[in-house]
Amino acid sequence: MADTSVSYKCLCCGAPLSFRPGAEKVTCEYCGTELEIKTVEEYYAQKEAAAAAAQAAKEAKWDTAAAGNEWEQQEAELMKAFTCSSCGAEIVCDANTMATECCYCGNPTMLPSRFSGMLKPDYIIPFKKTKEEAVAALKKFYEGKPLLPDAFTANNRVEAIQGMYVPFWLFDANIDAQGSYKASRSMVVDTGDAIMTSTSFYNCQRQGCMKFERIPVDGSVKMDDAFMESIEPFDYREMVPFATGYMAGYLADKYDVDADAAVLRADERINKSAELCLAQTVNGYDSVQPENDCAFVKGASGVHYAMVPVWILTTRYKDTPYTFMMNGQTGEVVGSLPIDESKLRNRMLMAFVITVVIAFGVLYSIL
Amino acid sequence: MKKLLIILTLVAALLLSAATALAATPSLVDKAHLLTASERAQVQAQLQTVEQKYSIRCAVVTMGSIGNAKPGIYANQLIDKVFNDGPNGNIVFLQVTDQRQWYISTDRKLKDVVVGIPGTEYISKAAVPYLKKGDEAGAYKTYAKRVDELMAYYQKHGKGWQPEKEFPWLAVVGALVAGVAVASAYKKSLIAAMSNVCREVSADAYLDQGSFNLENEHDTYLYTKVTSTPKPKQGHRGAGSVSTSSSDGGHGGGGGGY
Ligand SMILES: [Zn+2]
Ligand SMILES: [Zn+2]
Repeated sequence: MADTSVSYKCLCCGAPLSFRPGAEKVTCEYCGTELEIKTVEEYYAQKEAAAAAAQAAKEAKWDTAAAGNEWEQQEAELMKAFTCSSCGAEIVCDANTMATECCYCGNPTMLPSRFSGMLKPDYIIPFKKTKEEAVAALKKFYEGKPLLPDAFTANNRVEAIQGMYVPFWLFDANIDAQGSYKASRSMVVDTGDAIMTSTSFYNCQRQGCMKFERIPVDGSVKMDDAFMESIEPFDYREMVPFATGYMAGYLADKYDVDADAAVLRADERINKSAELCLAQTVNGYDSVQPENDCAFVKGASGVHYAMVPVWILTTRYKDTPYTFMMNGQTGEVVGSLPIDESKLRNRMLMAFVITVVIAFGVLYSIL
Repeated sequence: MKKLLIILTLVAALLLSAATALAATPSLVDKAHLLTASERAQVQAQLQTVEQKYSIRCAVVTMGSIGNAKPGIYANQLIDKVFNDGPNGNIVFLQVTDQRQWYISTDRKLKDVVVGIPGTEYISKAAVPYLKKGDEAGAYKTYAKRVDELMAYYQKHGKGWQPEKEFPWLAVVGALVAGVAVASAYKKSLIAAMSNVCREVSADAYLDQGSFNLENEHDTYLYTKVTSTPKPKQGHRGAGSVSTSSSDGGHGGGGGGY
């Protein structure tokens, strides 16, 4: 018997399922669910196909070589590079700008180095917000933060402020995505002395194509990815072809995450979007759950290399540096503020006492 | 209107029949003939003891039928029209055998002695089980005894007996749980407000909304799960539990089936 039986897993509980070929139905010994053998076979065939598609998707590469340009001799001569003696950050600027201290670690010793090994950006989004606007925006960011320590605002001064062009990879892609969802529909019947809920489960396959334009992924290891994704979005309508003139007075981070490495992050985000997008087409059910990661194949794709403007503001509180960033185009400020533990405790205590009093009043009257 | 007429006629008949026997209506009127002569004497004696002790009227009426009338309304009428001469108040226990219903009605004065549902249940929870067993005499003696107890309590404390409230453990525990839940949710939201640094999960902002095209969809039925939850049984109310459908500004008490 063991030789001729085929083994699959129960679609409901995952217990091993054995049945003879040729049988029509099988009942799971563990959870009692009755399954059509044809359904189980189809389900596993589809799963295998999906896995193959996912593998193919993994192997599909972006055409990253096209991103960026070579510098022309003249242009390259106008650029300078500095390396921080402390943290090793590489900063790039034009010939008229001086990098006086490291904007990442505050070290004042910046060693000039040879400008090389950096692609010329395809595009640049020029700075629109001034230094003064950045400071004012940070002040505003402190407002209405109930847990901010009083001392933080009282003797707070911006220790360092630096306008910085951050290298970004912008990914374009037409993708063809495949998703598998487990959906269910429930029916409730009142039989008089019991309530019967019968839930039917379905496997829903969806395939669709969609187009993404300029998904940004920062190309700097030093720049916190969470910060960079928090200051999104940039208005690409103001993006212009790169020219060294825009660099005057600002520093630029030399990219150290190449396009092939950055693409992994873009893929993650595309995956989630595709999964959500396809899930919206699974209609007529009470619940829809994605079964495994959505697999997608890239069609026409492109990568651009661009510089985006970011103001980096650093303040110090109790010997800890606090870094804030502002989108140099839209003015969006992001950062994490210190928390006054005693303020937090007081507020929680107050919420607790008020809730207990009200809840007791309500419960006492109804019980 | 017709109902009211019937009630009035019945009450009048009761009055007449009683009046022929004694000047004032006796406190035990056994129209349904449920008691033996000796039982009647016992019950009557016990009712009388209570009546004399507190200067109240403590009556029992049994009826074979009151037509379609509601026992509560009928009992209230008895208090208003028949048993209305107790200096310190009047109370009547009415039993209607064809409906298998009982009702205890009081006037305004005794409403302060037999307070609300708990007060009425103090009598009925003890007396009604006897009715169920068919021991009417036992039921009425218990009724008299309980009225005695309630009156004694009233005279001693200056207010009607009420069950002691239990310490509200459930409310205290519930309130503490709610307090912890709200405080921790509040803490979460306060801390969240201090930082807006957070990674994006999707690339939705960069999706060309018009570009989406669904190329293939395929739904396969897998299996069905059936679960059955038994409904909670409608709880049987205990013997002697009370509904106060007929109590109003001038009458207290309540009644039920047996
Ligand atoms: Zn199973
Ligand atoms: Zn440094």
